[in-house]
Amino acid sequence: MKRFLPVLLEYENRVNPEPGVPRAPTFGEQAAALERMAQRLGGVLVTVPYVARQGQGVGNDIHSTLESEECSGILLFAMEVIRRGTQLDTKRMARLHQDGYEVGLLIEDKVIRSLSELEEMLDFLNVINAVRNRDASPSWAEVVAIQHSL
Amino acid sequence: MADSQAFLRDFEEFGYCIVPADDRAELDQLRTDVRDALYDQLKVKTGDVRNDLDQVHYHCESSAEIDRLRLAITPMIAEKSMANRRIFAAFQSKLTSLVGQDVLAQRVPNVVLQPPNHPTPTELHRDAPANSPYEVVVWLPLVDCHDSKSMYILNRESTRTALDLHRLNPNDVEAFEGLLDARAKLVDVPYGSALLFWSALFHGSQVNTESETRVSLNTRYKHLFAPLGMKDPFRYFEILQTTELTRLGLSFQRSEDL
Repeated sequence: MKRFLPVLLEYENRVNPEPGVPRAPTFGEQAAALERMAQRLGGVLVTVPYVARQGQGVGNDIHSTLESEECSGILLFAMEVIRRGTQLDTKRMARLHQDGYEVGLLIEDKVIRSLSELEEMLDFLNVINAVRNRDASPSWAEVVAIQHSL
Repeated sequence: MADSQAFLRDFEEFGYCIVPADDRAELDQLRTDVRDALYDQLKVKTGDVRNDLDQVHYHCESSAEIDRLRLAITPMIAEKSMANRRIFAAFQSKLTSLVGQDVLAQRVPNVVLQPPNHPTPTELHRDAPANSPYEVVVWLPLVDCHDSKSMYILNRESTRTALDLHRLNPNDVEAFEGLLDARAKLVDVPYGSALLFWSALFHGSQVNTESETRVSLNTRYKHLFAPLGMKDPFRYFEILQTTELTRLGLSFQRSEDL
């Protein structure tokens, strides 16, 4: 039977974490939802979850945890789990796949098993990173301001 | 060419336009798929597609049943019918002229069923902020929509006036409702056309006092590299199409990750 490492998200804001969402899901709710996802994928969760703080992403220790727990896959509560600052950790996502793990994303309802699925995901991650990087840049804001004043 | 320029001019001035489909066959297939999904759920034999949709309320009377139906068919329409691709294809010339060739599409278009006298119309709201102000909303009726069977919208100027009024007198509900009565426009959109509107416009619907059900879809498109808004892009959007140049750029970036 497959063994999945659940990765929970510790939200920065427990109230209104995003528009239209009144409160962030608790760890218990996240774990229960990931348990159902694991069952759907023909496996179980390992007992101790990994917790990622929103905006800080997951660290290198995730790889040793996966190895020591003899996992065959990893289930992320949401893509937000791998965001560090404004950027989504594309290299981490790629490494998880390259190390042979099945990668599931609960909120986004995606599972990455093949190279083509990984590439499709990386393209979207890179687009989002480019947009966020550009929009956070003071020099870009200046360019936009100049264009609008012309 | 002149038609396209007039569309863009109107869209910028008013924030919305009603446009006929470029490809009616895509729409017809989508409409049939929606009808089939609905009637399959209802376990009712199908007939003429237009009548089936207009008269769907004869087969499901309670609000709970309507919600159940809507939720049941939404993923089918998104996945099996590839609704966001069909809608984009049906209105490709206009949508491309607004958002360009590199396109992000809402993953799952919303399905709305508004039977006669159903007590829960869509409250007045605007998508942006929260959604990106660089998005276009496609409101696509699958039946002929007119009067209260349709939706209402405030154009750019009226939306701006409503916002100003709300900022100056946030508690004056009566004045705001008066402005809505005066400015909100119920749009006539026949089947075969769609209302394309800017995400920052106020819009909503009333109780449908006509004798037929409104069946409509709504979905959103924006340029791949447009600012995102506050919603999780992975949950709400997917890449619909890219240009050759963008694919080269993405491939270059991807090679750095692998």
